[in-house]
Amino acid sequence: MKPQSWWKIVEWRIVLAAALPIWLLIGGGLYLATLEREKSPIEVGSPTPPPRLSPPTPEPTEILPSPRIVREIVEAPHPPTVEISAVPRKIETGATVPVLVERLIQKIRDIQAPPEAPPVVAIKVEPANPDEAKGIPEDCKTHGTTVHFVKSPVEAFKQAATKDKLVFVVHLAGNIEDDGFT
Amino acid sequence: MNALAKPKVGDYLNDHFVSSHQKVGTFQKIGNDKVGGNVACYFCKIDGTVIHAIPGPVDEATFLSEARFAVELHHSALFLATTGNNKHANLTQKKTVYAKVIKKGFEDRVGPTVPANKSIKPVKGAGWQPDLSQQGMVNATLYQTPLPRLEVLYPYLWEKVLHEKLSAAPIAVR
Repeated sequence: MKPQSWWKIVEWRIVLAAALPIWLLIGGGLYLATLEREKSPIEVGSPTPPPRLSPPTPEPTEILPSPRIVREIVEAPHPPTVEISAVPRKIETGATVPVLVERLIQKIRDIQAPPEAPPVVAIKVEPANPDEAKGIPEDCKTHGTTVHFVKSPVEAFKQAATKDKLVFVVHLAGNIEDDGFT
Repeated sequence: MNALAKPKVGDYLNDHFVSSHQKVGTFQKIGNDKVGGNVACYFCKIDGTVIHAIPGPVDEATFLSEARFAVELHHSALFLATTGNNKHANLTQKKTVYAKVIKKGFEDRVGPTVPANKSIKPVKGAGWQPDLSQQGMVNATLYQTPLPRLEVLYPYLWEKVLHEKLSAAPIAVR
């Protein structure tokens, strides 16, 4: 009796039926791995000038493709779009493009943010006219005395008429501020 | 002028008066020394007439006494000129009554020192009694001629009572 070939012993239909789920699992895994690789590694071209901050025109950002194949055009989620060229060459894997754009925008905002305000120092400001601090009327001067002098006798007579007061006039030779003169 | 630096004087003047100052004379500066310089104070009504005056520098008590005299005399005269029989008098009559009360106030003050000589008036060439003090001379003048206008009284007081020269220049340097 001629021995049967080994491949004839195996029931290939059963083997195929049993292996099919395994192949499907393997194929699915490879497919997912491929998708993951396409998303994560981004190789960016040569460094370019610093990001343009001023024109806030919504300009689509082009992300250069990975060596694989895919070329994607991703729009920045916010109006102040920035070219991706400022992105460091090596980017941590696992981060998605929108996340990276967000980080870039945040960095730019940090740069634009005003510097930290200097500490507030209380400065005592002396009034321009020291008479003001003593409750002396604005148009009066004391000239080193305790009397509020208006600027001229004419003004004194005008004010006295409105305030129902008398008028005190000092005539002097010398300087009213200096006791030695008068 | 030390009196004007005293708080009591300042409070009283600021309550009852509107104050001003004016340079009418010159002090001399010989080398580094100040020579001369003087002061005269006037208590005036708003129409420019002088109720009372103080020639020369005085101390705090004297100044307050003279200032109170001027204020109280003014209020008394104003009261008598605008009440009682004078309530419905015309303006001229009221002014006459007011002046009479002022004159009476000085008469009571100077008493017998006031010379009977009617020529004592704050006008150029009037005669003066040399035995009177500067304040006495002013009192006598205001008794003889109550309520003179400031522009009439001040040259006379400055030159005849204080013996100063009127000048617009603040300092004369020799």
